[in-house]
Amino acid sequence: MIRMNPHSLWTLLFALVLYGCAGPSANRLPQWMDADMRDIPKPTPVEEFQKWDFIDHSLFYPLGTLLDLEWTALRVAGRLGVGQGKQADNLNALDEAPNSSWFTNRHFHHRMSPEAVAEGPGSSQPDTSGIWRVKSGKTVGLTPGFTIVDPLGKRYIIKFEVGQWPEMSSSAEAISTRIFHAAGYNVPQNSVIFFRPEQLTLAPDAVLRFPDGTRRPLTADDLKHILKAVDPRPDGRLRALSSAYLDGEPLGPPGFHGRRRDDPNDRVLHEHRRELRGMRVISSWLHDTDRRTANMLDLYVSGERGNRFVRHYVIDFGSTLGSNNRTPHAPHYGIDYLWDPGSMAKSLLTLGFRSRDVAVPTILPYPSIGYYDNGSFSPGGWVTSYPNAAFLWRTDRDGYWGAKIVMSFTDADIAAVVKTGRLLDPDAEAELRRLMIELRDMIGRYWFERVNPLDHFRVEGRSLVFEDLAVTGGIEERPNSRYRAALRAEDERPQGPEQVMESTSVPLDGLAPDRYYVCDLWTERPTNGWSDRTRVRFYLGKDGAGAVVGIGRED
Amino acid sequence: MYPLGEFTIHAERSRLPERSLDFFMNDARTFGVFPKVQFGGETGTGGGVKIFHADLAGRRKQMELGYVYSGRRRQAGQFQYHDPSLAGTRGYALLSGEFLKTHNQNSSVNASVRDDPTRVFAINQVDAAFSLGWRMHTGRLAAARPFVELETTFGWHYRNFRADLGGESSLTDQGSSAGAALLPGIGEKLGYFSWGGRLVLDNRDHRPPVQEPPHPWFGSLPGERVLNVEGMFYRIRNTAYATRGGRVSLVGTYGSGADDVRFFKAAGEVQGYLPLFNPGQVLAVRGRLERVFMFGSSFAPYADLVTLGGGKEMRGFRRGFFRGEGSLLVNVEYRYLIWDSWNAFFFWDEGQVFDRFDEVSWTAFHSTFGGGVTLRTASRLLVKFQVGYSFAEKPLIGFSFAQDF
Repeated sequence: MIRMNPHSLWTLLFALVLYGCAGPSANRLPQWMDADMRDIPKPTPVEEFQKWDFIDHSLFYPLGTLLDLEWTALRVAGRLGVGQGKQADNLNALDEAPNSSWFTNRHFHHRMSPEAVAEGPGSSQPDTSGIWRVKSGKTVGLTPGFTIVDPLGKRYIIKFEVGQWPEMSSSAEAISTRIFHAAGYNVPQNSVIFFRPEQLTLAPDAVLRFPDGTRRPLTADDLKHILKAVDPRPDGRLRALSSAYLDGEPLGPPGFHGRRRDDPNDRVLHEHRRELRGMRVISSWLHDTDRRTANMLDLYVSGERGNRFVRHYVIDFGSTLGSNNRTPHAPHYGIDYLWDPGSMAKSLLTLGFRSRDVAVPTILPYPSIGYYDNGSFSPGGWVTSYPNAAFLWRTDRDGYWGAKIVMSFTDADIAAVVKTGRLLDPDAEAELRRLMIELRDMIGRYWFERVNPLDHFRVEGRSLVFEDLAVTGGIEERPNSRYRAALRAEDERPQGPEQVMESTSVPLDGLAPDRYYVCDLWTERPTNGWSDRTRVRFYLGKDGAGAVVGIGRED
Repeated sequence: MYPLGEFTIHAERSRLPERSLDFFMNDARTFGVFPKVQFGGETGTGGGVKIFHADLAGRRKQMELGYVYSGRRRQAGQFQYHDPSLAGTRGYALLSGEFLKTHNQNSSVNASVRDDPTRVFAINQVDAAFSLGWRMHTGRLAAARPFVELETTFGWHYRNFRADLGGESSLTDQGSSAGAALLPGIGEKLGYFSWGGRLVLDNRDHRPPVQEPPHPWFGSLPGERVLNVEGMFYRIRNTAYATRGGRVSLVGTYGSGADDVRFFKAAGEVQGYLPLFNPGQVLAVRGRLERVFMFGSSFAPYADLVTLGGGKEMRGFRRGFFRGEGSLLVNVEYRYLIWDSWNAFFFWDEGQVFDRFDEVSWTAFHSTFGGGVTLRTASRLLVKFQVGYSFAEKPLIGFSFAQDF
């Protein structure tokens, strides 16, 4: 049963009346909010099985999709150019993912300043003005660390980097967290911090955890042992990554396919969610090869109106950019899966002449940024370390959606966010910035060739105005781009001749007001000719204003 | 959920792999007792036990004991004690013992009569040896440096080779030389001592240390091991998949005992590895000459003659197919990577056995060819699967857990 409070009901009625009088009808307005935050009973937490996840996604899921006639037919049709893949299910009329418990439209639709991008989900860091009480520690695992409570009573996980790749994973985690946040995902508050060991004191109930689940009281010697592995700065401070505890009750990872059966809000199969499919492009930019089930987290949280629901988080960015946690990424990451029968078969049959150039030894000039390169990057072919179901279903429209988010990060945004990695070497920081900018542009060039990159449509002053994202993103020159527009009535009757123009504004003079229209748009570049069509449905009001009510993209 | 999924999840939840090891090994993983199952081999299918200790008395001395029971008259055992550094020096000591008792049709001593159902040989043999050796390098970097090893061995051996079925008449198969066809020592219980030496020069897959770390660490196989010592990066040599360098070994053993057993057995082997066009593509070549020299009317027992065939040489022929007083072997293998830790290979083996050097000729070579795949870790072979073919036998399929070439 759907419950709605009286206030919301009156608001809705008011909106219906308002739009009924002076604009497009409410039922044709694009929906920007997915009602998936309704009050629900707490779902059962799910356990995380990493080995099975690897086996399932490397072997059984690909095999299952192959045997799925719909999947196979659509793939074959796509290859033959006579059809498209199955499109995402949670789209509004503008081909966008509405705000939900998974995703909030941020930087692309609501431009954030570079400072806001760098701020991320909140620059929450432990308060260094007082003592930190250490509540638990771990000496094993990928990174040593402990949990603390700061003077304000807030709980943080503190993780250290050990070994010969200082700053690498913590900077990657801080930077990628902020990119994902600005893109629209729910992420934890991760920050690079510096602190003095003298700030630490053991809580009376502190425990030391072991990987087998056992624990014992944490002693001062244990703490010393953990800290001993960390190289201090010349000023005696230690560098670490702080991660604020997320509010809510953990429910385990949501998975990239299927849905949580005991969550009535979880109505769309995860592999058909636009924000998960399109994440592949954002992940490709950040070389986020470890984007798998274990690095997602569901939390049972309280909403502003006291509603209890599941919010879905993207977590763990330590294997992004050049970092694979404790070591740099292996060069073949992003190119092949860890276990890739297709590539293996090719190598086997070509007698080793299918060269994997990435295996050639390379000197890493900046240890703090690890292995992050654009030489072998393929925007369309980039893969995670093992198959991710939602990523496998990605269509060109999903790819375009991800690419326009990636391209929404300006050079200034990138510079600001790279600074949050707090790299000591300014040359390393500059190199990382350069690589992120170049990879961003490679992504833009690739996807904007596949889907007509016209966006941000609006009706203004009796014109249909839009942006050419390739031009505003700086990867195409305005003089090289032309646009063809064909206006039609809703019943497809042409409204005048097709117009070819160099501006990104289609005049709507002569169109009768208070009606819906369709505008078909194509873009011409010198290298590619005319693009596929983008169809925009809009309402034209009396005063020349109006509203875009639908966007259809061919891919 | 698939049954495999249920099992994997259960294994992950219950930490089954770790707990299984806990059952067989101590916490430090230095001592273990494992059950052993054998399919095929010298004694045929059987079961047994393997016991090892890698840190005896906390002084890194190693011990290994293995036993396989395939039947009352088919058993095998091995014992080995290894002190890798005598009193902290580059010297080492190795005490080893083996015994084999078999009349299995697939054993080496029956290779020449396997197609004859009327004949079966049986053998009881014991080998005990004590070796003292010297290595050019020890310690952490030993596995990263070129390798020179000099070793001397004293041994005692016992052979009881007899006809179990079909008598002691000479062999008529095509794989035995004239000397081997006489079945030297059959029907006798022979004991003899031996003394010998071995020299090995090995720079397979050696690369000089570098100041800056290359990435991926070791070129063709991400995840291979490197050591950072005093600012220099040393690559642990991957002898399971050498892509350069080579290995030379010279071995000589003098044996003498009762009943005219007196011989000198010498072997020389050269291995070379040539990188080809793409990373990981290698041409591997091996040449080996072995010869058993007799003195006057003395002889070498049948089991000590030189053999060819099996999973490591002349791979399209069964183990021990060729036997004589000398052998010449050439292996050419093209290897290429199909994945990080997987590679495929095609091989061509040529070999012959002889009793005198003047019997060696181009026309006496036998050919075998085939291919396979291997799965490795960063520095050693895990398993090799191969198919070998010769015009004399049906294709032979084999698994191997060791690679000496």
